Amino acid sequence: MNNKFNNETRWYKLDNTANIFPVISNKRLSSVFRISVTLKQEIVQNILEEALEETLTCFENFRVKLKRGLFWYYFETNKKPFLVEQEQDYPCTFIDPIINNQFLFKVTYFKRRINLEVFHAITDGGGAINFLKSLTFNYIKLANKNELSDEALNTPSVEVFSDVEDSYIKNHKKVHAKSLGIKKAYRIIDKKIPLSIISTIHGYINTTDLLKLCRKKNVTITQYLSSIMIWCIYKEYLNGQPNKYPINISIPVDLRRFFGSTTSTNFFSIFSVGFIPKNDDYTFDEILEITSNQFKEQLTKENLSKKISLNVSFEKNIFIRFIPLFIKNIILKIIYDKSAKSSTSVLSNLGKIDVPSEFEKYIDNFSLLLDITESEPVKCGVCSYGSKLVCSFTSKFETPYLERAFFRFLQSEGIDVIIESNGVYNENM
Amino acid sequence: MKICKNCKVKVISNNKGCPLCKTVLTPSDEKVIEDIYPIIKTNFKKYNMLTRIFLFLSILGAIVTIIINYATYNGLLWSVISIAFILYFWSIISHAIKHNINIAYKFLVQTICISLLTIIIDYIMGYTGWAVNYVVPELIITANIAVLILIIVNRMNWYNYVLYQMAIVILGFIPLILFFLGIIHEPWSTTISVVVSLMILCGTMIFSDKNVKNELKRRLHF
Repeated sequence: MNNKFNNETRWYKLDNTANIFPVISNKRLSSVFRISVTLKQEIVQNILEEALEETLTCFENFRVKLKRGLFWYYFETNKKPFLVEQEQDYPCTFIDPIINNQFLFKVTYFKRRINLEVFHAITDGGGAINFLKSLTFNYIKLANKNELSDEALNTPSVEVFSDVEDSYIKNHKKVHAKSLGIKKAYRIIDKKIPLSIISTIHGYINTTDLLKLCRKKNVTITQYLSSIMIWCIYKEYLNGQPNKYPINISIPVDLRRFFGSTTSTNFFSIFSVGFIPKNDDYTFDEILEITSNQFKEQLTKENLSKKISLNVSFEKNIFIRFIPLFIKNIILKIIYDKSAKSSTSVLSNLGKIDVPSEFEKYIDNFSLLLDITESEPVKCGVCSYGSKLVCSFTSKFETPYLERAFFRFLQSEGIDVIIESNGVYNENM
Repeated sequence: MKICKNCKVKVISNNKGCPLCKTVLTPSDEKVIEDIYPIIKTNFKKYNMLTRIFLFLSILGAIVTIIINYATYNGLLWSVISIAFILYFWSIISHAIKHNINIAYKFLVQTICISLLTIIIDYIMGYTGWAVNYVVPELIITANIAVLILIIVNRMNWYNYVLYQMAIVILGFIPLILFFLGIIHEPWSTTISVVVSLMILCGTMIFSDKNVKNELKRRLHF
């Protein structure tokens, strides 16, 4: 007989932010993000499958299917086998649970790259990177058995075993639910690529060069890059003219480091930085100052704690809890559609990714790709590993004005940029 | 590696143009580059001819019946009945014949749809109450028994059906409410419907195992 605990169907509730994703997601809005790792060797499918199986035992929150309750969605253990495939779709396409054995994530590979695509309901970037790191370590261990030292082979590939705590609830304080106060932001409008095609442009930057520049300006990398984004939208799409709506960039923050959590489910919050272009004579340095001050104001533990508490107070509200799921979904959809208008674009920085020194020589780079939505048709994912920082733009636009301005700006600041793309823009030539 | 004169950036690409500005690239070394993304065969959404034909015929049929009904009006709104049938037909092709939907869920939906259909027919034909008095309670009894057979045949899967079974059980009590409201006059069909529902509720409580109870707990958590 197997362990009784393993045989029983386990289930748990969706965390506080996860509740929104099953409601809003469909083929047009996938709520799927992709983190890829490029190794220095070609990927072999059956080794990857073996590595994945090993990894899944440590991540309970990935081995789930989504079920509907009468009042809420919930996750239930998925006992079906998981399938690894060669990459054959554009990044961040909708994960249809019916064809994916009901799993809410996908692992694909192409040449030297492993892609992990995750439906946002199961985890955020922080949780996904832990999963991908563990998968990569397991893969490297299996693929290089003879080469690696015993010490490396015995290095554990996870730091924490499936912690599925809802850290939002754990860290909330009682507050009264109040209105969120959503304000409309400037929206980029331009000609779009048809159908399900997504354009991807990566820009590889030397981390040390960029850090040096940021130190000189006394800002962080995220502050600097988001300021460039705002600046480029202001210059490219508004032509440097005043506008009544603000240019807002949403920045997701990993809350784990603020609240000392190790959860592998969602634990992030979003805040937005930006400005209303009132005149037509802003300089980049002014925007950089406005933005970095907003970071300092908003990125405090008290402020984040307030946000968490407000969100949890909705979930905990006794009236909301007893509304049947399908009515809840209608309400959530309306709230989401409204709040989506308050942001022009997204910049998500996963930060520096550390790996144990034994594995360093096998890994080339990590990159983050975000899904695009109707209201935010271009987004930027940033992630750095070793001396390589990758800015990856996903976009729905026919002409990459924002990307072009962004990388040209960096280049003009004396930072070398190497561009690689998935060729969507070249196809139109 | 290539260089774009306009953007001043380096480009890794097999293409001749810069992905940012389409300027012709200047090669800086002759190394062969491997593509980092696969060539994707755009999977255009399958053009579902059959569904489109049905949709077209449905709308056409509805409009034609409304016009004929209007032109030959003799106090009977029979076009409402044919439109109700068209809608019912759609409930079958969009739900009942789909293979990945829980069978008990199909029973529940069909019970509700057929009930509504018969009530509409009764109402249009000059209300005599045959639908609510006889058809609706008997439909609910049939659904209750059908799910019961399903569970007996496939006992290991009981927990998958239990939520919908309970929903049908609750439907079984609706005739009782209608009886007290004076909408139903026939006591026998109501009594049988309520008794069957009660027996099934009682049987579920006594015979169900831990799996079934856990499933209910999961589905009803709040």
